[in-house]
Amino acid sequence: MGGLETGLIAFAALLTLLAMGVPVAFALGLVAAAGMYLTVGVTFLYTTFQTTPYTLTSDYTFVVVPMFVLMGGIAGRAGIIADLYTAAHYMLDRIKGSLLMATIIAQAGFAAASGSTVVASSVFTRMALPEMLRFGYNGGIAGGCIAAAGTLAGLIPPSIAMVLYAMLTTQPVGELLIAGIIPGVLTAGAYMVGVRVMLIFRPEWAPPSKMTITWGMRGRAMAKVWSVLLLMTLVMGGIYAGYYPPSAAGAVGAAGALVIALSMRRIGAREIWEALLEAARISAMIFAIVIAGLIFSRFLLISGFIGEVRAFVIASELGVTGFLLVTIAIFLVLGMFIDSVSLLVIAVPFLYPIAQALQIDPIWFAVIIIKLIEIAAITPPVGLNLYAVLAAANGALKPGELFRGITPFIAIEFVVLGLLIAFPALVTWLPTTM
Amino acid sequence: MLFERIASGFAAVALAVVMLVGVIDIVAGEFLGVFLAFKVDMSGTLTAAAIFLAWPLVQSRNEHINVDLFSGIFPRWSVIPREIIAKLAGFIVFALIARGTWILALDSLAIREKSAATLGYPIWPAKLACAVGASLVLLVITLQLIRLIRDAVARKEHP
Repeated sequence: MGGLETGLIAFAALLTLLAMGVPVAFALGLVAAAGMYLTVGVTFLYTTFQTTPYTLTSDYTFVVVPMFVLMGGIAGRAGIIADLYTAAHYMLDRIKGSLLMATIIAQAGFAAASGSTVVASSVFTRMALPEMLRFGYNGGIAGGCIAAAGTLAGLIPPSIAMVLYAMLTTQPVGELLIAGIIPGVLTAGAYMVGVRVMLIFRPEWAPPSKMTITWGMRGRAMAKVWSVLLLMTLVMGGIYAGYYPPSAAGAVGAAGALVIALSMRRIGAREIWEALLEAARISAMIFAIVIAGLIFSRFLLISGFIGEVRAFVIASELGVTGFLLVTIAIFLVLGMFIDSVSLLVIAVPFLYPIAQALQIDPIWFAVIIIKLIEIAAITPPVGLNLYAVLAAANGALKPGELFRGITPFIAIEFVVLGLLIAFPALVTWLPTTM
Repeated sequence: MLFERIASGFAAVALAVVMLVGVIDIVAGEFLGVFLAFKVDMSGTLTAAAIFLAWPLVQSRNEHINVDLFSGIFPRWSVIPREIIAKLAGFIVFALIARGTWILALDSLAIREKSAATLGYPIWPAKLACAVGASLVLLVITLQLIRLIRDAVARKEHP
């Protein structure tokens, strides 16, 4: 049996196990183990399972994952995000759709303090959705805006998705993190322009606020934003200026969030303990999938699948454009059924070698992949962010309402994706200045 | 259960130490010109220990990410068999990981492995913790399997 057939059978087995409800890490690990045993024998299987888990988890570069999760956990518990949202709301009060705009800006700020898109969606649903519904905003658009702006955490550092991509491809974490800044800011800007355009045609979606906000209130709210700015400077500034590597930036960010929270007297020993436990649990879940994904990719490599697919793509003269179109199609289809992290782990191991063969810039390709992952996270029926919003909304939103509300934001995402493809410098310029 | 809570407690403490080591190294390096020589080894090995020791809790809470989109299309009777298959898959994967990690840990323990690069920082305790963590996952899955089979039998006897 050739590599292509072996790989396709493996993918079929994987999708069957996933459909049966087998956790992604177990499905990937089991298929890889069976495949290795059948293709190259038990010695390679034992060696791979012996070395990969410890080597990956003890790699200093990836210490950044639990540290970024911890930083977000502490920042969330300390209410740093609520301050940012209030400040954005007060400052933008006179603008049409001010709560939608404030949500986008505050989520961009939250993205700079937490790398998790799901956490962002969940936190903002609890904070911003009740307020928007209270002012008579369209529930679908409000929920869609929260879910979509949650994806900013995937691009703006500290992005856990970027670190995962680095784990799977051995690309430099620091450059990848910095490469996400401009696309992240561009996406936030595009959402704001998009919301403004939407409200020209459908002003009833966001009635004007009846709240009276004084300049004193604005000043007091803005005075509390320093904490987020400090965290952004600590993490992004440190990496960009080369003061410390991303792993150290993660530790500095987590410690910075802790010091800020303690100085504001908003966190106690119990919350710190909860944040540490949460960081350990979430990191364990992430590492389980990445370890299994790396083992699976090793199986695809030794079975000859990757080599044959690469040869097929080159022989078929698809070119960069054709390959990108196929990649987009793969992510759109799989993204409807598989969550973002799993999709990244399943797809990148065979797409990345092809991208290398086609001499595509690896940093640019990483951002395109993350963008597609984030689009998948808001694409019904399995967009992870959509479910985070629905779960946190506690019945205030119906799935159909949210799925309709997210549609304009998916369209905006494609416009941004088009810009990133048409102008690669939007991605590649900033890392070159490091 | 108590053992996974203790293990995850160690994981939480390990992450706190990683954070402290990282920040002390930066601050001491920036202001005093003194860097912690063992930072890289200590952070890496403690993170590995934290991940392995947190897995038992993740498993006992069934928090591993899965795709539950298609669960609706399977008949009701298939719920327990599918859960058993999922647990068996996890058992096989973690048995392979535990086997490999114990080999690493015992080899490391035999020579009291220390970091070659930095002040002899001991590596073997973290490897041992990883092996214990992976083994505890197997224990959790075994208990979950026993519970599932007992439920299935009880349902058959009292439908």
